[in-house]
Amino acid sequence: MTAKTSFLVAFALILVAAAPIPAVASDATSIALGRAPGQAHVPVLRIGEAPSAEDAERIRRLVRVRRGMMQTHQVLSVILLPIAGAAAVMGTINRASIDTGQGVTPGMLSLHRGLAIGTAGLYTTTGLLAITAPHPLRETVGSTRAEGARDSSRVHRTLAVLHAIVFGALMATGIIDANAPLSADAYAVLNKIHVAEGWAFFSLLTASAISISFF
Amino acid sequence: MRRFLLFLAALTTGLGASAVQARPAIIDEGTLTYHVDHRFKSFDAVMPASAVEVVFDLDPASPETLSFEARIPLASFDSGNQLRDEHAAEALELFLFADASWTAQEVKVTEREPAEGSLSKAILTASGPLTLHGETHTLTADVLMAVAGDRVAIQATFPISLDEYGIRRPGLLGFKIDDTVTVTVDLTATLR
Repeated sequence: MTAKTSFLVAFALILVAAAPIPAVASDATSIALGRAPGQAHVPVLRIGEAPSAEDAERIRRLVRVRRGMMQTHQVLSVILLPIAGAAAVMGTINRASIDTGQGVTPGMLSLHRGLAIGTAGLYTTTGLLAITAPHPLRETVGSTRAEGARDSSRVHRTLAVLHAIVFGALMATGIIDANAPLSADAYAVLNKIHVAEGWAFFSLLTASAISISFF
Repeated sequence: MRRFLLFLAALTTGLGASAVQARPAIIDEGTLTYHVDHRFKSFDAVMPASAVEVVFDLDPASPETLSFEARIPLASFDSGNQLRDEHAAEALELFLFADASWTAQEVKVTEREPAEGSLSKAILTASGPLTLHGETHTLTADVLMAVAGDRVAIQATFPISLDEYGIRRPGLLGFKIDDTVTVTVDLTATLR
């Protein structure tokens, strides 16, 4: 795979990540979840109201799907962190090599790009798992939390929005950096911004993982 | 929201001339807490005792007359983290089993301290069926009770095995939460 092809793949991943998530699951998703296309996710229940056996089984199935998706989200996050960190380290090494006049070897460049593509793919998949997971409990019994109640998961979700924004900027500067015909000065500036974004992305990812795992 | 519920008419035990009179009580304040341990963290989820619907009777002169029947709306527990509470709701299958209930069918006084003025304290052992996640097992717990006039303070801590009640334990990063969840009851009530 050439560098150009690699970055086209990365760009496609950005487009996938940026695509709006449909409010209603697709027919394919509906069928996979064992319901007719267009059918509502789950029946609306009140707390204490017993669902029918059929509804209960449907909710249970959706809970299992959600648990599987969220556990995969957690595992992929653990795999993602070191890869994103390694991509940032390699980017920094490459930048330092340019600054000291040593230049970057094709191997070093390929390693950074490989790690960046791996990061982009894993990140997109990890994010989509969390965003698209069904939420049967919220749809059935709803939330009983008081308005304005303390919620430490807000930190995780806020950081998720921030690292998604930085991720978009990181990929954009990476693609421009690799492909656009820039002057040496403009390239140097853009490249430094790209390296800084890489570290910001890694830091936000790490903070997001820590916030949900330990607090 | 405080939900004062109550209650049955005071009971007469039928012990002849020395009959004791159990009196219903209203929960004034307090909390019900469960504590969860995980390899990476521990947390508490709390609900106000006023959310618990309880029928509670006691003759302050005879602690062994304590009887109660509690219905606990599990969705009222708040761990301070919405995602975590939703995982708990999924594990407890609240769409099927919204409440837990515990009825004290047998109460024994295991230790009784001499009264100091109007204050008397006793340690009781309360035993009865606990229904959780649609499964019922006998729960026996030590209850510390202090009575001063019409005021009663009750504290109890007891472990519950999630596996015993068929609850699939949620996990984080490949590690499930511990099987044992510790429940603490700490409340004050006023006898009527």
